[in-house]
Amino acid sequence: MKSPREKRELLEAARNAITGYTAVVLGIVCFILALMLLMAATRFIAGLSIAATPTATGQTQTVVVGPRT
Amino acid sequence: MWQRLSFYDVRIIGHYLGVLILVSAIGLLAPIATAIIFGEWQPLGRYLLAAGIFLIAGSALRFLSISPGRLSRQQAMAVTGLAWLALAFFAAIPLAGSGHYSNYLDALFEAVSGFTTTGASIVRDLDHLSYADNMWRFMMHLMGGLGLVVIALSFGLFGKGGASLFNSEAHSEHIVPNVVQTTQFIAKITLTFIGISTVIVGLVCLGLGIDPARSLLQSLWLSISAFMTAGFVPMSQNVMYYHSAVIEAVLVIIMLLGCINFTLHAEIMKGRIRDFFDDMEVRYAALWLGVIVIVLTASLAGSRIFSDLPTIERRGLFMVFAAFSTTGFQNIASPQLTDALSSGAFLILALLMAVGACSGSTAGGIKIRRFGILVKNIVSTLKEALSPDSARVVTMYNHAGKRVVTPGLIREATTVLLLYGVTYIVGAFIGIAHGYDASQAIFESVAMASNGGITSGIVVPGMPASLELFYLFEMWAGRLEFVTLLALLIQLVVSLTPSRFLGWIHAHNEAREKRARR
Repeated sequence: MKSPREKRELLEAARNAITGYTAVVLGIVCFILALMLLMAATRFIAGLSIAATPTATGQTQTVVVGPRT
Repeated sequence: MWQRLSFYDVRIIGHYLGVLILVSAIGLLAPIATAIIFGEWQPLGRYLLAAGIFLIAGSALRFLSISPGRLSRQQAMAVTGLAWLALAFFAAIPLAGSGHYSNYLDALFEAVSGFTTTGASIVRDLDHLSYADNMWRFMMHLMGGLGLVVIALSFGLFGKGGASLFNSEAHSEHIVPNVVQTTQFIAKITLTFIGISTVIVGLVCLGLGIDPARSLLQSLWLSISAFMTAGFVPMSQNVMYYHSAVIEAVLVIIMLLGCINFTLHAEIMKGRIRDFFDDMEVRYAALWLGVIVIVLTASLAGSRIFSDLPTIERRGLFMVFAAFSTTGFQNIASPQLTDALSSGAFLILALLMAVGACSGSTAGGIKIRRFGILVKNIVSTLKEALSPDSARVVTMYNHAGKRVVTPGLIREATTVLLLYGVTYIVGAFIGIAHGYDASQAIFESVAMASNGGITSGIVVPGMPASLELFYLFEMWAGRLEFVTLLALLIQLVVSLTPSRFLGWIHAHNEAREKRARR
């Protein structure tokens, strides 16, 4: 049987733990969302860079495989 | 200079190895119960046999010394170093008889991968492995992730030798002054998070249509693997089997909670949230991940298959967290790591595993704390260069309060960094010597030594035995963070060297020093 004081201490410890881990998990979730935004921004900038890179223009070659009929 | 192990030391070491083997036999209850519940009679026979072997061997070793007394530091290092290998030898016995491993060496590799929480699997036909065998694989993760010594200490089995053993298992911090309470705290946090994760992932599995028994087992196994940052999975398609972004998201959160220092867990439990967000490792890890994500995204933008944003965000981010935490889950197939990912992205994953996550957690790698210490050292050196001669520069860092960066910390960080680096390079050379592509060899060597476990296709059934043995050594060395293992190897060599030969070396060295002084 736990005394009322021990029960109070247990409740307070549980409250601290729940508050602590809720804050940490929320922090992790916010961090993940921030990383996703960072990825989106980087992808957008990388996409602009890829689009702006001039592609090499050259003649297309026709390759014949096998004997000509 | 080098202390030899005497016969008395060997008996003490044998006694404590016996204790650890007996404690580990408790883990066999899980596969035995699983086999009974699911009517897997052939696996039941194997695990009962294994339990018998564990009990006989453990008891026999215990009787080497009836009242062993206090462990010295050298004895503690030997016990810790040998325990991981000895337990793997015994743990491989039931696996070898399952028919899913080509030979005993493959089963031993799986056992070492399990205990060291590497998670690189060499099993054949994983999808048809019995529930009992799978349960044993994940029990090895649980025992290895907690630490074999931690488990024994939490039962108060080592008496006065506990602190030495605890430190020699690469646990750098005591959360509370009493080592037994520290280990009990670690065990309680671990089991609580595994329980919560099992419920959440289990409900998602039920929602996906998986039957209740399999949902419970798979959620339990995935939760153990995620919090222990280990990496075994119950299905051959890894987490792709579930096609569930929700499961992947939950696993990411559990992996990140698993790679938080247990001292910080103690602070979080007391409601001291500020200590967590102010911690040097947490901040440096956030910065490191931010930089990595930018480089990875830029690299993937030009790849063939993984260039669109939703794919980069889901698969890229999941792989980043799996590699950073050295868990080793994959939502990209192993062949795609080399074929479809850009080479830059491939090497970024290797770098993430090499650096690792937070110290004092279940994660592997060199650890962010060591890099943080070295960065602080660089800042301190620059400050000293710019300060007047009379100034005394003291560098501090945050970890559950302010701490001083001491020369001892810098020396330890540099030593371990060098040892990891050398091991990564030697492992890469050995992989190249076996005919593998250089980037693949580097990746695989890093995955083994950092206990990361993401495999690019070298670790498969039928891999060369010599390479398998070296990777086995890398996993073992990485789990013990080298110092314990190297100390053990030196002790063994010195102890086995004839004393006349050692005396000759000692006399030769003394004569050389005398000539140098003249």
